[in-house]
Amino acid sequence: MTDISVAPPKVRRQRRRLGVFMKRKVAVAGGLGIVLIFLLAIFAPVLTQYSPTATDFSHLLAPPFSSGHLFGTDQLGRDTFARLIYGTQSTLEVGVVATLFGTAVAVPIGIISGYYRGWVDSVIMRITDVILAFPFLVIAVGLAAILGPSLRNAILALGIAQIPGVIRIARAEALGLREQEFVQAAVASGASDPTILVKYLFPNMLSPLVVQASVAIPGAILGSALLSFLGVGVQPPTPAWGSMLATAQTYLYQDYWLAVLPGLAILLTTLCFNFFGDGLRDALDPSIG
Amino acid sequence: MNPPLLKIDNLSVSFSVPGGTVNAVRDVNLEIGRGEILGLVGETGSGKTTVGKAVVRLLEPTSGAIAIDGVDITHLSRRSMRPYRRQIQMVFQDPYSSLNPRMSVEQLIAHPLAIHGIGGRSERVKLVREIVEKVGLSKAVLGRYPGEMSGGQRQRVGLARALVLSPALLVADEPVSALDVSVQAGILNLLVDLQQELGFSCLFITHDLGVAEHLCDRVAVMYLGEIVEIGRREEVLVHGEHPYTKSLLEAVPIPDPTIQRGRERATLPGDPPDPLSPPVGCALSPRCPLADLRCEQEHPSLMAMRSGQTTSEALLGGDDHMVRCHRIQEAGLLVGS
Repeated sequence: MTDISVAPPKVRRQRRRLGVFMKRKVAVAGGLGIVLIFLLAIFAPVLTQYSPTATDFSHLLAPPFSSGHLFGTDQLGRDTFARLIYGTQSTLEVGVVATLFGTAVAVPIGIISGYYRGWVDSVIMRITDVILAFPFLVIAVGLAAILGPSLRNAILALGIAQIPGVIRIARAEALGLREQEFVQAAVASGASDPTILVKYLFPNMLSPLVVQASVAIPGAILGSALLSFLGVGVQPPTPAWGSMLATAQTYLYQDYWLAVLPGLAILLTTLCFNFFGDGLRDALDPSIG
Repeated sequence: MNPPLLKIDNLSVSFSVPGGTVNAVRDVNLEIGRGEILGLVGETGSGKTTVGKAVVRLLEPTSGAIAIDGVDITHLSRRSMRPYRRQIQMVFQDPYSSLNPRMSVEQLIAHPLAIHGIGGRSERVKLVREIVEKVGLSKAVLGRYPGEMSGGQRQRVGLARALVLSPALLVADEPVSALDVSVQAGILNLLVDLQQELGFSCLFITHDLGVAEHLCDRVAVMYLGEIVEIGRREEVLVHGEHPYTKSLLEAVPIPDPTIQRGRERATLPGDPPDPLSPPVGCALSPRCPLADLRCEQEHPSLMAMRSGQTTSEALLGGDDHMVRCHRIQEAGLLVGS
């Protein structure tokens, strides 16, 4: 009799490969999901005949698949499907632009801090330490409240809240890179500091920055949902998933799908970005075989 | 008399570390003439790389002066240093970390030209192609990135990057120690050929006496941040007199087992002392079989072997084999033995 508790080596190897493959598959699925979400945002007007802001008082709180509304309507008779799809636009805009903005501001500061060290570094690091002592969302909500509710201010608030974290990453990379011989070689060949920072340090920290951004975008999306949930983000009637959730609270007993649908949308979007980011991290990290 | 190409006067470099100050280089005097290759040998931590980095101004000296062609460059600002950077180029030890992984070979070699504003675009392309051919690479590598090349190829790119500026002095910091033995010879021969063709001077830093013997005109031996012996190649590497040089020479393996087994070897006991608290007297005194009370208490100075004169007088007399050791100077204890 063969011992069935120990799988033969071939099977074990296949299982391991399957694990690697599944991991990759999830990342690929995340990537496809992101593409799909972008397509939804771009082709929103084609995908639905309804305007996300048009009210229809003859069909208030219609259930899904009724009276020509795929996902039903809300308390003002607005088509939920249209609001979800159009909501993708503001969601992506906030997530992507806030992350780009935060990264664009933070990376130069981080590089300068890590390359020059000394008192410049100390000052920048102590400031980021103070900011990092507060949770990301608390800073974002606080800033949005101060700046006033609007899409632009939500982007600003979520972008600024990201800055200290990205500064730390860029600084850590710069600290490591400045000791590399190719940076010394650049100094020895007479390159100026701006050249070294732009051509030698920045290109070599792209992979960790891309990974960081792929993790920051879902964070910002979640943050934007929170801001509009609290009423300091995107303002009605512009559709946003967070504010849809907030209004749905009132009708939770009559029409639970009003809450479930935007909740699912937020969940799926952040999941896609997170899976994609994880896959990217693994793919770009040489220490993970 | 023309000033030597490189003149290092009483160079000292110290680093602050937790627990005190490390004097990595102490009062080093060196001269390199035009077209000369000077080997700087010593074990890890002896300060040879620090000397090299100070010469290319990657490290600021604590005291002393470095002059190129009689011009003191020790305290030049970054801007006024730039024309001299062209004169002094460096090849680094590790070809895996000394090339920017995000630049193609062509960009890597052309970048120094761009920094110094040499030539137009087409002329730079021509110069890059010429030097690539000279270092023995094919034009096909121009579009490649460092990650796509072997260690030997990378080191050739490093050499091309340094030589494309036609420097007067090349500082080569252990350029072959990170390479396979089979590749080392190729790079060393290339360096010798290029040196003869282009006529640059070279400060060649190595821990490998065989390599030093292969290509250096003069050799300086460093121990704990000081030069303990300096002279022409045969004087140091064949007739080396300092006890430390002798122990280094005896540690070189001979590729013949019969001879190797039968050799008498006087290796030094112990390890180099803690650089945070170097010995008061001779740096080698705690390990030296010849050390006496004077060696432990009095720091020896570098003196000429033949005349027993101090550095500057001896140099004028053409007596350039110098040793830092009390016991050798005393009554010719070891001279001629």
